[in-house]
Amino acid sequence: MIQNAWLIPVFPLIAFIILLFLGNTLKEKSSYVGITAMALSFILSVIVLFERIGGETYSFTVNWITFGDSTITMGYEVTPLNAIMLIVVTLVSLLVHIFSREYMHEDKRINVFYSYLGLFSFSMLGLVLAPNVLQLFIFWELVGLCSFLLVGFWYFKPEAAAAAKKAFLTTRIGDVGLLIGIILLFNATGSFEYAEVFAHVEAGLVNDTMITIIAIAIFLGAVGKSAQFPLHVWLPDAMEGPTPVSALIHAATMVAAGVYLVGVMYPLFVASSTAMTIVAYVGAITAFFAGSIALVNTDIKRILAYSTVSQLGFMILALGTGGYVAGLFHLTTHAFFKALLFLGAGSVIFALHHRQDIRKMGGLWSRMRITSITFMIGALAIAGVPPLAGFWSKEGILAAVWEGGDIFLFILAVITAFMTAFYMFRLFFTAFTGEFRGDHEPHGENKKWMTIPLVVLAVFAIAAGFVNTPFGFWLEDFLLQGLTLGAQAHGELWLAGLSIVIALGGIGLAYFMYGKKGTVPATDTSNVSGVHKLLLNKYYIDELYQAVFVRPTVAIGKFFWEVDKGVVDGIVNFIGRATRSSGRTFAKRHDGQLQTYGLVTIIGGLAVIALAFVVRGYFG
Amino acid sequence: MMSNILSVLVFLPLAGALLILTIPKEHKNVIRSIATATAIVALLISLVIWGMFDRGASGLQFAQTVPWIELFFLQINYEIGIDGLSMPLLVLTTVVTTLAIFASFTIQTRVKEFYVWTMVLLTGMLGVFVALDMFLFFLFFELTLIPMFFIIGIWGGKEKIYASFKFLIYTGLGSAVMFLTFITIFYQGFLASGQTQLTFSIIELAQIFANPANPEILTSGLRAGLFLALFIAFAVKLPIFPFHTWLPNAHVEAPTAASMILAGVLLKMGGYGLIRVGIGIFPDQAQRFALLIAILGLVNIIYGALLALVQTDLKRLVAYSSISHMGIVLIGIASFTASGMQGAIFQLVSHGFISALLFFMVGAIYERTKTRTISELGGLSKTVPILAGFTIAAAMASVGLPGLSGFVSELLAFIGVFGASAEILPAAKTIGVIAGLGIILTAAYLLWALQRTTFGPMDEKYSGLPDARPMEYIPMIGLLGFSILIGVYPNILSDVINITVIDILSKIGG
Amino acid sequence: MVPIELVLALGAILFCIGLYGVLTRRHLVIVLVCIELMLNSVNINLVAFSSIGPFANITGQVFTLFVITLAAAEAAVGLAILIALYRNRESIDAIKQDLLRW
Repeated sequence: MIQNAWLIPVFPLIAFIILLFLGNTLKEKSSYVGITAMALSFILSVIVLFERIGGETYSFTVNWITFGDSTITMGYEVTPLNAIMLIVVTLVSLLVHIFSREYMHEDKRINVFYSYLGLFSFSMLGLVLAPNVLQLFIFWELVGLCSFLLVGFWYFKPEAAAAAKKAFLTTRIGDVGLLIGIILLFNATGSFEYAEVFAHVEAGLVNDTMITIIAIAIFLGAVGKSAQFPLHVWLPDAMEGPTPVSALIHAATMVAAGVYLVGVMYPLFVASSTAMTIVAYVGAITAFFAGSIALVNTDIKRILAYSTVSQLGFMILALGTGGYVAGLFHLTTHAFFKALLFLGAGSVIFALHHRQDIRKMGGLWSRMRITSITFMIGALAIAGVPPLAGFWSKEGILAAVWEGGDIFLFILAVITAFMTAFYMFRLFFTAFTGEFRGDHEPHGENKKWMTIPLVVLAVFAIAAGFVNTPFGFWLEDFLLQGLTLGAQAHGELWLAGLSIVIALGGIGLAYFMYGKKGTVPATDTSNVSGVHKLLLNKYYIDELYQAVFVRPTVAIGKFFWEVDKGVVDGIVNFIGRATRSSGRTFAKRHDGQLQTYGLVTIIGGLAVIALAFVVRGYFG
Repeated sequence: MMSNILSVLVFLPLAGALLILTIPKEHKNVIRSIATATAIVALLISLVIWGMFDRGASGLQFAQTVPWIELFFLQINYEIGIDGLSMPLLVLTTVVTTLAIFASFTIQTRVKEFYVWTMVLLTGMLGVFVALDMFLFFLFFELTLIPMFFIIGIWGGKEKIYASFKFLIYTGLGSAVMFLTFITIFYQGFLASGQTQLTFSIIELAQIFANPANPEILTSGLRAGLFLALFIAFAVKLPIFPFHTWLPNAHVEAPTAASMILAGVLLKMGGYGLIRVGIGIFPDQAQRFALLIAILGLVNIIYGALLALVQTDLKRLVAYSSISHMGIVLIGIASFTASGMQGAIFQLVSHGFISALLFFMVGAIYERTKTRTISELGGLSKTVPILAGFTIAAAMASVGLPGLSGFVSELLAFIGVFGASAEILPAAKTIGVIAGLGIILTAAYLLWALQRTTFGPMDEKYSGLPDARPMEYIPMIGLLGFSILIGVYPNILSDVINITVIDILSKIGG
Repeated sequence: MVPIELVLALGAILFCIGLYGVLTRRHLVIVLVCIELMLNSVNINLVAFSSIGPFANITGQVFTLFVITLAAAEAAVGLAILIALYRNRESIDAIKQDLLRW
């Protein structure tokens, strides 16, 4: 079956094509097409994973383009890493497909929505199966396109249109870095294939400076896609898209592609300590930075978005400090519990008629029991409470950072972990406990189409961590097959204790501030000051970018336009006008006076004769 | 038939034009059908040639030489033939023209003249891509000018007269420079060959200049001057900054079909001429000026993109995007690597499809909303979802989204630039990085335009506009289809181009 | 024998007078007369070269006859044009005949 792994992305592609042409007639039935395709993909992924566990890496290629004597190939391969990613992507995508059937059923363009989801699943799975970094880039861009389309799905909202543009454009900045990186890599090694590239790098055929430059350029792509500082600004805005999309693309899969990229290119990063340091610091700063913004936000989706940014920072930090398995492990567990949280948020938003302000919620525990319980499981998992999935993976990251030896990074990581627990339970207590403060009473628990995905994800959020615990590092052994990365850091007991204390401390603080007294974050934020104001305004990063990049670029453009009209085209028009006006001036001399003409003719004739004489030397 | 299939292809549209001339002008549908049929037959012939083209052979194919003008010992031949450089452009020409004819069915005034001119234009364009004699090349080059002048001047927009004259005079001046240069090259070729050969043949001239044994070989200063003169002549057509200002006017005023042909094919003649004549005859000089070409390419990319960013008129935005995209051709050429050169040719072909599609979309939107001002549009996804969808697809192709042809050409050009040897192109990596900024800017202006036209709230006055008509699907699907085809499986193009590119580079000695 | 230079000088003087008249006189009949004068100066040259030139032969005198015929024809056509002009524009002032301008 592993030879047929290429079918995994093809099923959703077929769904996309069917919906593209027949969507308008299928309408609401479109969802079944999408769900069927994803279910097939998921089943196939499971089979492929099991075959891969007992087997070898399988790959297949065809020629794609030839230039000079170089040939670029395309194909697919199944490695331990992407076998796991296949499961994560197909499972989350399948659940989101199921969830959306109810969530989107009132939307007239549900067929379009499902076709986009199909296209996205195709692209994401193609990205995962790519055997070379160019093919990865191709699908990388395609998932960016789907993100653009889905964030802008409600295009008639100006915010959604702006957010879609911002998402595409910001990631595009990183993508150019990635493109340049892989081209440099190609020029340095003569190939895009992972295996050949790493062979070159490990054999020391590429000089160290070049490796560092390439690694940083490639990392730029990850920074853009995984919304790392300073290109994180698009992800919170991307929450303008439908919530299932946020769960699938902007929490579980696409944004994790950056982490995945660093994961697949890991031998390259390991070869450059400078690049590793940069990766680690970018991750740590992002984790802290986004976590701190989440502390004060009041929009349920944006809190989760900043939390996603923060968790992605965690993964990047882990990779940067040598925690290869820890980073990818957290990627997997995070996909489950963050998708769960987003779908839970979607369930709440759906029940509350698209209201997202947590200050207008409250008391949902009694009204939406399944959503509340599963949401709490997700929150506990992300906070890192044992034995949920988040605990194991986060503890692995802390261990890797500790082993990395940079105490500053460790402190940042610990603080961020604390903040994570705090803001998640600030959200939980404000939205789910206390009295209901909104204007529309929710209609009760949602239908099974929405609750079943929540329950499934909750199971994974609890259980996914058990694949890599101190009682058995099954995932680690699997992922490290064929790689020579050396030993992975494993946390000692005190570290486990520390992370439990952090998690419980954060939850406790949230309980005392919001849960116990039923306090609500202030509605009036006009008179806050200092750090709080800075956080509320997201460190003024958006404003800074507007002032530093956007407005000057437009101003330069306007300036050049004036130059183009005035100078470049001005010269052209000037030449044209000068020709015409000189023609007019000389035409005036033709006044019709025959005798003047005659005189001029004779003078001219004489002048010519005189000239001829002078030239021939008749005048001596 | 098969030996002179190229001649049949080139002159078939002219025959179509003559046939149309015999039809009374009231029979608009008959005229349209004849024009369409002629174009489709030309398209089929070009596809037959594509199929018969030997991918493994270097050198010219389907070549044909007939003595034409013989005066004293002057010899002008009707010399035609194709190689991997002209083959894709030939197909591009027939495809874009055929689809442009489908897009021109909305034209109702002076139908007969329109199609006569279009047919003549098609002959001119095809002729340019097959001619191997400089005299013949020039003749066909000029033959494209007049029809386009009339098409813009008669069926154009508000400022059509200004635009058409600017187009005619500006590009005509470029042609004048080209003609003078051709004459000089011809004469110098005569001198260099020891006064034995009076030839206009590009191939023979290249051999004469390449042969160091020839007496009285030109001074390198003269060669440089001639190359630069050729460069300027083709720079007007491509267009290259600062010779680009005719283009926005011409594009904005031209009718949709003419914009498609103008952007899709006519601009490519500049790039083609630069490679065929400029690099063909003076490969050493081209290499010597690699840095200049690359810098002009960068200026084109960045300058065009910045200007596109601030445009208020959608069609003008697309016109400036053309300027920006032609910069990729230049940096690809300037790298003097196999991938860069292929990237340049890919970009010629790919931009032909994509810009034609973009212009078609702008035209279709304009036809319905009667405005091209970006700020007056908005929410088109709601009123005309299919047109909006294709507009988004076209913009994405232009942005260089993988899976569409624009990406392949950018990728190849970038691989070329980053891999260029330092002796030929100093600071290649800096150039590559700056060109990368251009890619970001491209995404910026196109997405910003999308945000303000297809997205956003819908203006009430646009509700109930008709969506795509069946006849409009043909150009949209055709152009997008070709873009996807090349984007998904570029080998289809690269196996035709590759050997020729290797040939060109081998002359440079790289 | 009169030296040829004197005869040629007479021709040149006559030509200059005629030319001056053509370029300066406003009355078109006078202009016509001056043109006759210039033609006659040419005739003098032709005759001079034909009788006392270095290669004297009859050709010059034959040409003179042609020129006189031409002058007569020209006077006839010219005067006819002048009359037509006068009928149309009520003036044969050279300055007022300025239709041939931009």
